Amino acid sequence: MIGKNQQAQVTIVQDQANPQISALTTQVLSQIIEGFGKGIGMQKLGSILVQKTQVSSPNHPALSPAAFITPVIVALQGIIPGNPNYFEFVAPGIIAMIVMTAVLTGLAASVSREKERGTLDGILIAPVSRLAIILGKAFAQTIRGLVQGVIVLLLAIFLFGVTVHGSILLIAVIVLLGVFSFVGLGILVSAVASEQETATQLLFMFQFPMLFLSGVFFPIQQMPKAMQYISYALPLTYAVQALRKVMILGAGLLEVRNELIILLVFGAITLVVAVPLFKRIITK
Amino acid sequence: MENIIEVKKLTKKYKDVTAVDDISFDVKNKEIFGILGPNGAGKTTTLEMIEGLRPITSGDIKVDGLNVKKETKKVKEIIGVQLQATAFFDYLNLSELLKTFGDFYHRNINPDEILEEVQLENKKKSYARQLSGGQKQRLSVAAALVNDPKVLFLDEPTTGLDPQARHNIWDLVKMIHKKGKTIILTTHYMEEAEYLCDRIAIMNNAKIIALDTPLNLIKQYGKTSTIEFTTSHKVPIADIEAFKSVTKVEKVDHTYILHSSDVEKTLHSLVEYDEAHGVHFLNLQVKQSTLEDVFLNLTGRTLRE
Repeated sequence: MIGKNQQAQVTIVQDQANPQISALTTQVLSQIIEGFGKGIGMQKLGSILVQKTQVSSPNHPALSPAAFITPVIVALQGIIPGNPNYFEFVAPGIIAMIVMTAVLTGLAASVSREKERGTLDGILIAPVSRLAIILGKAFAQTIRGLVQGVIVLLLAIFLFGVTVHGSILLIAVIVLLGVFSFVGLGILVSAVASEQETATQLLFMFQFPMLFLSGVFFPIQQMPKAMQYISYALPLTYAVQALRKVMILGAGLLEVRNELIILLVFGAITLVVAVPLFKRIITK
Repeated sequence: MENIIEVKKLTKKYKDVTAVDDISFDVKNKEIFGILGPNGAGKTTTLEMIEGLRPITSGDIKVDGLNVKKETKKVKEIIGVQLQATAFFDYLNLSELLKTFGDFYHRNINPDEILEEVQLENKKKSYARQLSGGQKQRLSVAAALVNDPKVLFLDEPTTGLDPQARHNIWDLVKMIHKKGKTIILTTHYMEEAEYLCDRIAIMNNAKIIALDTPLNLIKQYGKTSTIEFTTSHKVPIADIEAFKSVTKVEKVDHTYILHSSDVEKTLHSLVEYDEAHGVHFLNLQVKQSTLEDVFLNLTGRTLRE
């Protein structure tokens, strides 16, 4: 068909069941075909130019066919070295999610389990303040969450090839603040739901939507506007954002300052509300 | 201090139930004080209010001069409570358990010493779930002693134990008492109350209906004794109930147990019946009044269900 001076057509049949794979494949195929097409175009143009210039201006330097066909070339340059993959995008979110979940469910479960089991009695009989009890539990769950977070981080680095570009210390700070923001919520839930069953069910109800709305698996910008507003009300969103900035982009304290402040404020408010409520439920 | 515990007009009301109804009593320093009564009388609730575990509806409680409602923490420092459900942490052995409980009081205790006192030293590396019923009770007494309390609270310390374990606990209680500690215990076993206690408060239906030494209580309220026997022939129960001065008739297997307010008169009825109907009364026993009789006389019920 090219010989007949018409455009040749190559059809790519897409498997729509696997959108991500087919999109990538299509992209690559298109590039190859386009490149092939450009190659042919340059050949043809090259021969025409050579013929024409040889006739009209023999002393003019040779014209470049590439400058006609692709006058502007796009060069890509990344902010960070290397090639980030989807794991790198998802890993910070998953770490944040695991740590938050540990604190949320762990706290509620810990309180109701001790009540049901009866071990809380031994503590209540002693001169231990109820504030000490709840702080102790929150602390224990925080450490548990952190350990889980570290394990996930290590797995991400060594098994999934995720590279951490920011400071580990800053990551730890973000995670701690994320936990802090969630402890209040955890206390609130365990104060409201006295039986362990109810508490765990309530928490599940919250966690799943939160996972999807916080931008853990895909960017918030891809969501409908209404959902985006909900995302911005969730502390997990900010923790994930901050973690991503540090882990993938190597951001420093200054860049994540806003997210950290939001986490701090959220945590402080929920704690102030939750702790007095909680003192009521630690009884025999 | 003469009275180490002072309870004044103590009441505990729930939505539709009054668990403790306006009771008042004092516990003398270094005595063993018992609260005797059937299940549901209000004994445990009373104890829990003194321990600071349960909120008081109305009334005042002072322990060693401290107001329980206002200075709860200070009260908890000087008391030891035996936990009824004895729920201990699953993954700590006995030694670690006692050390942990000691930490709650900011005390660095030597667990071996306390375990020795309750004769559980050889089990110091075991876990609570591996202990027998009697050993568990001894453990909970040990846990109550970690802070060397002035007052020890024992809630039904021998319920569910076999006789030997029960006697072990009784010996333990007496030994602790010798050290100069005040002990207040609840029970629905009259032998326990009689054996251990210097003074007893009898509780029924949220009220205290009598308070005195076991001896005085029996003298004052134990007007009945029990007469036990078996019969050579079947006797209609109505006839037995008709015997003089019989307040109550019980039958366990083939043995009749009569509660009588005048033993002589009842025995006289037995003899008359024998002569009239030729029925012999065998294995005859006359038992002295016990606190069981005291309770029966005061309430018309038995301590046992």
